[in-house]
Amino acid sequence: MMGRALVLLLLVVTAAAVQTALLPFVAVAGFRPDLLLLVTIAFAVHDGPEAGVRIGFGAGLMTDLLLQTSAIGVAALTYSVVGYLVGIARPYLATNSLTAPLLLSFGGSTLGALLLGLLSSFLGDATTDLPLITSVAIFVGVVHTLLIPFVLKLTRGISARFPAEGTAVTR
Amino acid sequence: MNQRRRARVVLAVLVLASLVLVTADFRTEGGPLDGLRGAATSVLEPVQRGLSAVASPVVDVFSNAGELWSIRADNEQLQSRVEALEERQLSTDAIQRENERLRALLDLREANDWETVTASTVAFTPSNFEWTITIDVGAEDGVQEDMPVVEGSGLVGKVIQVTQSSSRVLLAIDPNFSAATRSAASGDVGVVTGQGSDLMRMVADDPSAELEPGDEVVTNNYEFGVFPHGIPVGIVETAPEDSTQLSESVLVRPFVDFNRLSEVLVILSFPIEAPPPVPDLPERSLDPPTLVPDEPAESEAPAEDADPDAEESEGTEA
Repeated sequence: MMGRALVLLLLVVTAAAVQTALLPFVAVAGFRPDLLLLVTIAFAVHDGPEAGVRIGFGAGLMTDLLLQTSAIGVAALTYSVVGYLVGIARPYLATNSLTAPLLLSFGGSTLGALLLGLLSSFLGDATTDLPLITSVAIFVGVVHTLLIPFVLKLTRGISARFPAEGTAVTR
Repeated sequence: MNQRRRARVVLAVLVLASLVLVTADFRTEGGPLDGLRGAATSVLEPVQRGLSAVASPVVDVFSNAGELWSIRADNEQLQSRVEALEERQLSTDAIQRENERLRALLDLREANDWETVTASTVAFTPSNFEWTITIDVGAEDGVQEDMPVVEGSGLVGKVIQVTQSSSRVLLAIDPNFSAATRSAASGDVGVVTGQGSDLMRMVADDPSAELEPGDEVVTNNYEFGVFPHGIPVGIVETAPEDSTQLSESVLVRPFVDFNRLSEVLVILSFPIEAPPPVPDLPERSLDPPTLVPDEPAESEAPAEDADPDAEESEGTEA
């Protein structure tokens, strides 16, 4: 259990470093994928709602600490909710199919980006408008759908070596 | 079912914790939560710096890849030679680009009487809703909050958070950024604000301001202003939108490419221009006024006291 926590902490810190240092170079029209949200969704798809909530909170908190204009807790709240919803929705889709993770990734990512944009506007200093939030949500949804198979591979590897307590591991 | 209930409980607890954090962050400006932000920046900064150093040559390679492919397609016979030349070209291009960037910074520093420190960008913001960068200079280099940040082509932003060895800069395109500006052509003043991925917006103070497409926009320094005079911000892209508005607003294309920020200058101090002297002010004596006694002595009584009308007529005659 402790080993899993440490590995996940390392994963979140690495994802944050890659997100801030490397992804800006591959931004499309100024937009880039949100690796921490993607990691949250991947664990929720693989390990279920509880893992989704826990990792979502950690990943969101890390995002909050790296932001300056929105209140701490906004991303933690958003990613926790997204992790839970994706984990809850998982049994309603054929989890072993290829399309299920893609659909969950698109839905979760779009919802996450929308929620984060709206909450940042309401609860923080960020003055983002609705067209921008919608553009970001669609971009993040599409790009995460393309990236989720690769992140799921990583998730499966981690969960196989360090299984989550009390969660059914899907094949 | 049991798992779902547990997940719901965990969600409820963590949502509550998030709301507590949001509330605490609102109520405690500059408190322990801000310290946490600084700590996170400090912890990640070495990793980001390393990744950034690794990424730069890779990015240079990708930026030249298109050229490499077209050469291959055009002349397959010379493929091996082209590749060899291309490899050499990549490193030359990278050095040349860096040289140009540094030369522009040097020119900027020499052209102005600023005290500056040079910094490299080590990280960008993780969010699509905020435009900030992390640079590798901090309090130990003399950096403080609100200091302006520029690069060779113009205004980059201002420092909003400082740790010992790194700082966070709010970019000029962030919606929370604003700066006093003026049109270099017409002299009309206004305020420019960021709009994220869209062009910046300048709102002129005077509704009848003459802002034309192609006009250069530069910073304007008011008393206690953050930015020195004359830093290039951008170029007016569109004509005024609606002349019936109380203020005139135009879109401004920034000079700086915010997706390719590398070396920047933090302006530690700049001379504040003294306001021009007010002309025709009579010279005033700093001597204390003489007290008029209650009953003046006859010998001291001035002749002017006698008749003011007489004095007036005398003056006219003169």
